Amino acid sequence: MSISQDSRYAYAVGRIRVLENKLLDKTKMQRLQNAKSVDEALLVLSETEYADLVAKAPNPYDIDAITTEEIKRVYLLIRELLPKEALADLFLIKYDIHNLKVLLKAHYQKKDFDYLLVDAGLVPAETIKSVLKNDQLSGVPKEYYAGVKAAKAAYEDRQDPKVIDEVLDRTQNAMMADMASKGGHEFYRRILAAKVDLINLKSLARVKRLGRGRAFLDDSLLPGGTLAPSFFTPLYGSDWVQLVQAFSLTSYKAVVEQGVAAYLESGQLTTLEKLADNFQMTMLREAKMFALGPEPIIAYVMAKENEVRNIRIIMIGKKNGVATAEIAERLRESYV
Amino acid sequence: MVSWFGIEAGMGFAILGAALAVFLGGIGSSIGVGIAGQMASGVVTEDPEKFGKLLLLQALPGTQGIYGFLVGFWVILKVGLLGGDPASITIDQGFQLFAACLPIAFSGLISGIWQGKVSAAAMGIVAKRPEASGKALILPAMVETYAILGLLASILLITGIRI
Repeated sequence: MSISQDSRYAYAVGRIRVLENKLLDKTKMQRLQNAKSVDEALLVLSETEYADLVAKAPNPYDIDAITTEEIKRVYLLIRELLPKEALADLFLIKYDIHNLKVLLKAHYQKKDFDYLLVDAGLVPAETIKSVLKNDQLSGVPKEYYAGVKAAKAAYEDRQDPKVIDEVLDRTQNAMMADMASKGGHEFYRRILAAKVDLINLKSLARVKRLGRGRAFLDDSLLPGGTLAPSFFTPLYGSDWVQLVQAFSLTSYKAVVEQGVAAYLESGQLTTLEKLADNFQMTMLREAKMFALGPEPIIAYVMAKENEVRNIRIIMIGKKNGVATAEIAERLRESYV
Repeated sequence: MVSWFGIEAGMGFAILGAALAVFLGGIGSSIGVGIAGQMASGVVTEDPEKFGKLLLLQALPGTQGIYGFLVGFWVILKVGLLGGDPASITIDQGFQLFAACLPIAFSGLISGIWQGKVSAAAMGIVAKRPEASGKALILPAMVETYAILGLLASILLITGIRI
């Protein structure tokens, strides 16, 4: 029976239910957007969960540092709530992968990109650095090592930094899907599969728009979604109307229809990208229907990631004097 | 008087019934209160002011254990085990008492667990919308109905059995 399975998360869900209240809702986001300057926006942030971080930050204008701190705090919390769970690891992998990409590119371009490293992953950034330098296996998951090896081989073959991203993205998705299925987190696996589909959809649209060629698309497509890469490749040669038709039987019908319509009108893919993210958020909201179990925890972390991204979009927009309407265009729906 | 291995079968059945009512009801309640308690601890960690409202919700799944104990006690009283002067119970009467304990034993076990889950879910309402706490209390209380029906059936049956 599922009693022991679900009630394991009861304490964690209790805490998350309260923390969810502190997520920035539509009104708060609206106020942030309407702020006339960075200072005013920071003032709005000071009335939220970010107050402490803004107050303590050595440079409050460095929004990246503030949001990274917040994300770190959330990951630490999840670690604390689920000490023995691979579930927490799921969210950390992407930071390691990011660090691996940065370090590999730095290695090949003989530059120092250390300031881009994010110390929020499964393995401290320093460890990853020394592992890469000494080419040794210990201290990192063996998948990282295999990924790095494949990325190096691909780079040396093609001399294009983009292949490093591709190979490592693949490693990341494979690891996350594998961990999610092992941990029995059906909800996360479903979200991940949709995420892969949407990434592939975005790649298809981008490659098609830029006319980079089918081989380029093949390299970008990720496995592990509900739609196989072979679904996407033939669509490269077809026109946009056919593309919309091809998706009409999938759950992404509305995303593709509206996204492509907006593209044909404006020549920009931003609407499609935004719709794709909003689609994910709608899926995530299902977690509100689960009383016990890991779903609310997963949803909270992803909601936080989304919130942080929105705050970055707003603050960076404010800093660079982007018009409010233009910022609003780029924002994703929030969880609450 | 039928006796198995020197135990009076009638009395044995009656005691078995009483024991079942107490321990199955108790299991149901402890699982239910346990789940609700974990969730409540989570909420209180972040928001200690909600303690009062949560306490009530946590206590709800506790009633099944009490009902089971009540029925068990009733049986013990009926067969005179408490006064040190046990009645002589035929195997028929013993089996009747045993059967009379089953409604609360099983409805208590299952409803206790589920009431705990609903209570935990209702704590989500308290955490999110404190103004709807009253409504949050009603939902797990619904589950209580079936524990009460089980208790009622057990009591009516025990009262009706002639000794």
